[in-house]
Amino acid sequence: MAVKKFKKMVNPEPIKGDTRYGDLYKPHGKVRKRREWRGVGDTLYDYTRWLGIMFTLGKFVMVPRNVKAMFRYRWMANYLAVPMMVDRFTQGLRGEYLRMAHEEQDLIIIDVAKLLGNLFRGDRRIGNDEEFSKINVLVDENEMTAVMMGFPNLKSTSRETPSTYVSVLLNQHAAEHYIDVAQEFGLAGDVCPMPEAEAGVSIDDDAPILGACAIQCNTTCDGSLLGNGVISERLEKEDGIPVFQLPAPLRHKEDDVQDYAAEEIRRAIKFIEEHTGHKWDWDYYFECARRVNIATRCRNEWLDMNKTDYPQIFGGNLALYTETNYMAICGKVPEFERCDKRLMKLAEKAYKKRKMAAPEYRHRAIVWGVQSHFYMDFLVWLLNCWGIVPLTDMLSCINTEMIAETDTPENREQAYYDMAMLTEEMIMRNRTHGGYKVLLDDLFEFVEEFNADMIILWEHITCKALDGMHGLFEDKARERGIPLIWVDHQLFDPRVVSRQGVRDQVNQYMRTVMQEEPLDPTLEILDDENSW
Amino acid sequence: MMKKVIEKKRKKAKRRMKRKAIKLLLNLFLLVTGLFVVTFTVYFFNLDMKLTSMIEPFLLKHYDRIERNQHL
Repeated sequence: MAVKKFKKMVNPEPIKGDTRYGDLYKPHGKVRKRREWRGVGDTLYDYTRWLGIMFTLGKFVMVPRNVKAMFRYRWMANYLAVPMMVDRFTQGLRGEYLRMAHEEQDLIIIDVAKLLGNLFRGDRRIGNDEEFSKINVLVDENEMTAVMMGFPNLKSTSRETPSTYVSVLLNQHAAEHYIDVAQEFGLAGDVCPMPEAEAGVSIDDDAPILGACAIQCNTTCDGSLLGNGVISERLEKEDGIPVFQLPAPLRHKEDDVQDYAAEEIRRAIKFIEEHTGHKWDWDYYFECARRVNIATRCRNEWLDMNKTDYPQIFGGNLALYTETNYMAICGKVPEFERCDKRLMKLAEKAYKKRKMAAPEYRHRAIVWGVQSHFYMDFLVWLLNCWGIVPLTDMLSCINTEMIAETDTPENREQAYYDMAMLTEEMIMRNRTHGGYKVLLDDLFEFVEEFNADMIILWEHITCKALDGMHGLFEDKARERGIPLIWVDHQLFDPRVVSRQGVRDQVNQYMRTVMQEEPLDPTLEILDDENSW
Repeated sequence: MMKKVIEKKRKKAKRRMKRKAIKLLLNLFLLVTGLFVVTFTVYFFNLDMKLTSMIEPFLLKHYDRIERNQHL
């Protein structure tokens, strides 16, 4: 079959300011030489948002217990790199795209600062506010927080989100210490480094201790179960914090598992009620459900926009926000509803003007598989270096259905099924489990729907759920004439495959198979191994 | 006569107030401009990140010295 090829699109508007982004990198450096010049208007806008981030960080360090925590927890050092994370994700962005990125990222920064503040307030080692600690329910990092949608006065608090998940976004080397600690204590080295690092934080005695109880979920894989076992052992036996295991069915597309899934949700809610003394509030639940639907509607519209010639919210702007808004927020934070609406306005404005985010769009790609967390801004690199538009990624292809949002007796029963569905369809697990239909067939359906001419397939080398399908992906891509680029990585550990190692796999394919030259040659090889 | 003197004094006071207001505005303008120049220099030359990247090694050494109850 002939190879599918997308007709190159050239941006009629020139990109203002810097266009050779690789020149901003300092060889062997941790940080860049200077920030990007984006033309007067956009540079001033970026500067004001930088001031806003500085204000958020300044407010955070004004609280003495937060400073105390900075000197207690190793992972807190990664938060020195917050402004640089934003710079990485906004590389090359101008106009509406820059504004979308800041709308999302600045809100995420505020939300994480609040989460850290709560953690340290309740932490027995730092703030030791016992009353406050009692209204916290600990949840996993990679866990849908739907079971907390009916508890307006409780906080769903994740220790793993700031200690490992966000840390690796900030600093590519953040998890290495904890992975090593876990392996020093005999844990296997060939499991996913994400749960391994989370277990490492617990083993290293580096997790805040707080909460009335904890809910753990059989998130995605063997590694996740391993990590949860280690963490719950310490929580229950040493810290006296009871843990509930929420085992969501893996074959989540099958009808016959749904009653069981809903029953598990009921049990989890009962467990929270018993250990916190708080009662489930249906008014609050339906208020959150309405917000979940708004987020879903917006995401569906953004994805529809990405099926056209003028995609708007894609790449890094889509991936990071979806992960945060879908699982950790899950309708509980009204600010995200406002952000959804602002993003929608920006996207519609840019779409009407037929705006493009790069000088050229050469390929339309679906990014599939579990992306390398230490190099999430790779999506921005694809666009700037090779003109490959990452239309959507696997982790952003989540629930598209509306859930019940009006309070009726029938909907109260339906709500358990809705929460179960959201939990089963958590980011990553909704594709890595559930059969080849959701992982393999759906990919090629998306390729058709989005009119994509390329697949970027992450191969997370210790993710057994995905690796088993390697040959099947290749066969299908070959059948349909879709160029497929494999990109090996080790999720949280850049010592196995470095960022340049990730880039090299695309560079080689683009030069040898596609016979193309990069859009920005300064980005092809970057000396960023020591970088945050 | 008296009225004229009062009027003169009032005008003088008004002028003084005006001068003061202009001076205040000028100072405010200089302060804002100064703050803008300093913060924009920090922003553009990435000085904030250059500073924090120098702090990190000291923090890491400090974490290594903390006694921990490491176990499975």
